[in-house]
Amino acid sequence: MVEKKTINWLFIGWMVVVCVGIFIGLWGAASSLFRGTSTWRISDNVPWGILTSTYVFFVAASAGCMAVSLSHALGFKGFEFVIKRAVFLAIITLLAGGIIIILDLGDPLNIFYLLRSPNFGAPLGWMVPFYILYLVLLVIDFYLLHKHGLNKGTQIVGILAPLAAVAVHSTLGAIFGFTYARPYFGGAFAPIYFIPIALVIGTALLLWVIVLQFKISKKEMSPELHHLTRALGKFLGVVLGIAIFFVIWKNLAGLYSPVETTARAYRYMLFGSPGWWTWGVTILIGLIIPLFLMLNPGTRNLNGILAASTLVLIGTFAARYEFAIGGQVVPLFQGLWQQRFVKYSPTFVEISIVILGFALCALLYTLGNRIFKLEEVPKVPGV
Amino acid sequence: MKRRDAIKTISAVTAGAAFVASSNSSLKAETAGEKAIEIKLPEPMPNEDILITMQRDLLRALKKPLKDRKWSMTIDLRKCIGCHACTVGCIAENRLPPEVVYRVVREEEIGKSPNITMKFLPRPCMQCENSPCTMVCPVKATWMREDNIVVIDYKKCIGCRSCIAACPYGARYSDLGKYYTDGTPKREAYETSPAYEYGKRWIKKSHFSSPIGNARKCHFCSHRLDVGMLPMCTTTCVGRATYFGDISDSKSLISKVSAKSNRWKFKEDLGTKPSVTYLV
Repeated sequence: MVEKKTINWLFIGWMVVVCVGIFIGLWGAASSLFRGTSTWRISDNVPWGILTSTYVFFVAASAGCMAVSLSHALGFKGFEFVIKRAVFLAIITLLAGGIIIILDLGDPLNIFYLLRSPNFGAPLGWMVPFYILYLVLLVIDFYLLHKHGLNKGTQIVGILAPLAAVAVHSTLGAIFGFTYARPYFGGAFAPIYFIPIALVIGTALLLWVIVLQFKISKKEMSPELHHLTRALGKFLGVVLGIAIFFVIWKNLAGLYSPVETTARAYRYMLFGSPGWWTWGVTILIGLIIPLFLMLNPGTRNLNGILAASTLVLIGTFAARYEFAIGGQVVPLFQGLWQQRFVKYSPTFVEISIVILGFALCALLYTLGNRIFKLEEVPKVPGV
Repeated sequence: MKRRDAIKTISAVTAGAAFVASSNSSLKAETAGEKAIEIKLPEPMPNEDILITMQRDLLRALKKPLKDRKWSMTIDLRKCIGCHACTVGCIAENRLPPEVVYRVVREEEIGKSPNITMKFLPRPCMQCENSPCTMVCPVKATWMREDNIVVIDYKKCIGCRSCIAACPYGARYSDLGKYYTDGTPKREAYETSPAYEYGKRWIKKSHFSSPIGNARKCHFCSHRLDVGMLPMCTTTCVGRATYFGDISDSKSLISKVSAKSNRWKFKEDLGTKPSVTYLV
C-alpha cells in the first residue's frame, strides 16, 4: 500500500514568504536602477542610509559565521556538525551584502574603476581586495568541505578564511571610524568594536538557521547537533555580554566627549526622539533579553535559542541602522535654516532592497541545502 | 574683415583654451566654438571696483602655466550682507539640482533683543590642501589639481559618498537626479540646459548621465577661470565681500587681502589647511 505523502505546510509557507520577498526586492532594485537615486531619501547631510547599514549587517553576519568557525580550525570538537552551514551562510550573506552595496552606489556603472584606479591609501580601497580574497577563500573552503571533507587542506583554509573575515570586517569598521568628521562612528574604536558585534550577529544567524531548519523540516535532530546548539547558545550569551560591554563604553565615551556636536549626537540618539528605539530595540531586544535567555539554563532550549537569536537579529539590524544614522544626525554646517538634527527615514524603494537581501539569502540557503546537503557532517579522511 | 576678425578671435581663444586644457591631464576643456570674452579694462585707479582689479589679476595669472597658479579665495565677513546672491548665482551657473548648494550662507543670530545682530558666513568648498575627502575616495576620482582646486572626475566617481561623509565642512553633495520642476508640467530649461563644469558639457539625458549619482562640489568655477572669467560668486557678490585670485602672485589683490591679522580659517584646528580665508 502506497503511503500518503504529507504536505509540509511550514515549508510551503516559508517558500511563499521568500518568493514574495524576492518579488518585492526585485521591484525595489529595478526602481532604484531605472529611476535613479531620487527614489531614496539620502541627502548631503545623510549620505549613508539604510542600504549602507544593511550592507554592514550582512558583512558582519558573514564575518561572524566564519569567526565562529575558527573554533573548529583551532580544534574544538563538535563544530563539524554545522561547519558546512556556517561557511555557506558566510558566502550567501557576503554576496547579499555585495549586491546591496552595488545597488547603494550612485553610479554603479563605474565600479570597474575600483580595479582600474584603486586608491590603496583609503580603507575603502583595501576593502575591495580583502572582499575578493575573502570570497575566494570561502568558496575554496566550502568546495573542500563538500568534496574532500576535513583534510589538511580544509584545515589550512579553515584558518585563513576566518582571518580574512576579520580583515574585511575591521576594514569596514575603519571606513566608518576613519571618517573623523563624524565622531559618532567611534574613530579608532570602530574597527575593533565591529568584531564582537560580528560574532554576535554570526552566532545568532547560525543558531536561527539551525533551529528554524529543524522546525520547518520536521526531521530528527541528532543528539550531537542538539548538544552543539546548546553550547553555541551559551557562546551567544558570552559574546552578548562582551558586546554589551563595548556598547556601554562607546556610549559613555560619546556622552562625555568635550566636542559638543559629538555629545549632542549621543544625547539625541539615547535621550531624544530616537531614544525609545535605541534603548528598546537595539539594547533591550537586541542584547539584554537574549543575554538573559541564554544565561538561564532553563531557557537555553531550542525554543529559547530560536527566540533569542530572532531578537538578536532584529536588534542588531536596528543597531547597525542606529550606528549609521547616529553619525550623521547632527549636520556639519548649521544655520538658522538648518534644524539641529537631520531627519532621515528610508523610502519604500530602500526598504524593498533590504528585503531583497534577506529574501535572497533565504532562497539561496534553501536551494543550497537541497543541492549541497548542508546538514551533512564532512567526512574525516581515513574514517 | 569682420569674419576674419571673428575667426582670429575664436581661434585665439580655442588655442588658449586648448593650451590651458592640455596642461590638465584627464580634465580637458572642450570650449571649441565658445566666443572669447572681450573685456576692455580701464587703467588701474585707486578706489576702483575690486572686480576690475581681480579681473586684471586673473588675466595676468592665466598667462602663467597651470602649475604656477594657486587659486585662493578670501571672504570679508564684515562686508557680507547675507543677500545669498552668491548662492543663487552659483546654482544658476552650475545648474545645480535640489539639495545641492555649493555655496551656502550660514545666518547666525547673536545676542538677545534689543541687543541683537546677524552674522553671515558664506561657505564654498575650502579647497583644503590636506583634504579628508580626497583621502577616502576608493577610485581616485577626486584630487587636488596643481592650481589648488580640488576637482572631481565624474567619469570615475562611483557614487559611494564616502567623500561626502568625510568632509568636515559639509561642502560636498550627492547629485540625486532631482529637479526643482519635478511634479510640474514641464522640466524648465534653467535646470535641464547643459552645465560646463570642468570644461566639459554635461547634459542630463537620463539618470545614468553624469553628474547624476556622482559627488559634486564647488570648484571655484574652473570652467569660467579657463576662459578668463571670475567665479560666479565673486562676480555676483553685492557687498564685494568675496576676493579671488592667484595667491602666488604678490601683486594680486588676494595676496594683499589674505595677509591681514584679522584673518580666520574655518575649522582650522582640524588640520585640513583650507585655502579659503575669512576676514572677521
